[in-house]
Amino acid sequence: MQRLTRYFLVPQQCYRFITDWSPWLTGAFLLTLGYGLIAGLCFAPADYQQGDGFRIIYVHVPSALLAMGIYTIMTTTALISLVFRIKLATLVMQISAPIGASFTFLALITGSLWGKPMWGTWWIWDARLTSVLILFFLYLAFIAVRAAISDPWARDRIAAWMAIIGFINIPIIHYSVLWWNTLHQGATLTVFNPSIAPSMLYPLLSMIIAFALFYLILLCQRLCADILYQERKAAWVQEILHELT
Amino acid sequence: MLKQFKILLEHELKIHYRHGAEWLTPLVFYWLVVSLFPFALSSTQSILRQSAAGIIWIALLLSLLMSLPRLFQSDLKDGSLAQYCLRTSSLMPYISAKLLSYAVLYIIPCLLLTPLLALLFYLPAHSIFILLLTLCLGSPILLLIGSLGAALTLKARESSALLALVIFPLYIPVLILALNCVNLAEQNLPIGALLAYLAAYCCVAIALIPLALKSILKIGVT
Repeated sequence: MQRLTRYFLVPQQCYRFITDWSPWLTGAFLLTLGYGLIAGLCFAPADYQQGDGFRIIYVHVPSALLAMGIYTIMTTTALISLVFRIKLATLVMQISAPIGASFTFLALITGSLWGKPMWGTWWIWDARLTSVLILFFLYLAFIAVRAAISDPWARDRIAAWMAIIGFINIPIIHYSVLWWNTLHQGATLTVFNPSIAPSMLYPLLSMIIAFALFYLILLCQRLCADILYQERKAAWVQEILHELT
Repeated sequence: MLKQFKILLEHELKIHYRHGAEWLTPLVFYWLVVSLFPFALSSTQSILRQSAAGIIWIALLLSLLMSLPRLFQSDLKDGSLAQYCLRTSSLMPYISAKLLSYAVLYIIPCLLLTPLLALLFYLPAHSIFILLLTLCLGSPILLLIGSLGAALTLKARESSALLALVIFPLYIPVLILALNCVNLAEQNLPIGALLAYLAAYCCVAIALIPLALKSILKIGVT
């Protein structure tokens, strides 16, 4: 436990930990991505109703899952940074925001690309679509607030509060949107069918893992860069820079 | 604590009284925004009646957005907010006095004007009553969330545009619940459950948001 906490509290240890493990991360990412893409796009059978159009699920579902997952991570790290004042948690929170916003955007775009041939429209004010759109706005608000405050101490605190408030609001949005939807239109197609065939399911699971690993890789890269920048006056960073040049 | 609250409330109202007709601006703004819609949509009776509740709610949100940035700004500028935060006693009397005076000056006039505006949009009396009910339950939530946004953007540059970005996503649940109520009432369907949800949301907001507001204001001052 002590060793584990040291990794996350001492910037130098954290940096070493990330640089040691990132080749493994990249390898696992390439493996899962390769299997998911090839099996999903070439070997999985076409859907009996949607034809080949269903294959966008291999991008859509992982990005939608990550869109919500990353917000949860942001809230958790926001709580940690408010309560325990751990610098690393603040870093993870701020780095995650643009990545999460990109995944949310990707989920919206792929969903609407799929919606045009399947539902006959690019956009429906459906419960799930609308709550994902609001999630996207919450990400943007978080990024905008961070960008508008110049004092770094207050910025991190206020951003943490923003993340927490947004997270409390997510279930409220989800349920209110569900009620709202009951008035306007009946159930649209169920997006995710749990009784999906194994030949379609395994590539999907593999893609979900690949996307999560991709997020981790991006996070680690930015984390390394930020740690190096923050500790740029420290001796060990100077040493690394010296080795590089 | 109650005594402090009374003193602060009196102080707030006195300040606003000396500023003269400042409280009129958001009210006139609200009226104006509502009256723009017949030009933008159509002056047909059926279309206006259908969209009246939504228009009134949106106009109220916009008029709140007009006045909310000023909520803590003047106290931050003249340093009194820092003094309130430094005091050993609780910040709660200050927050509640501030919010109450704001509600009295900016929100209640808008609510009083609403039946008249709703009549101009050909809403039947029953719907007007339901609309007012949802506004009474919803506007405290709007004010509390808005004050949270005002505190969050206190230190930010160009705070009013940012305020919209912060609070409007949080307003969506209230908007959905309230407008659903009005729509259901127009079709003579039961609305008890939705009203209960709105009231529950209101209670939770009143209980929890001032606590968050206290911490955020302290960050904003230091």
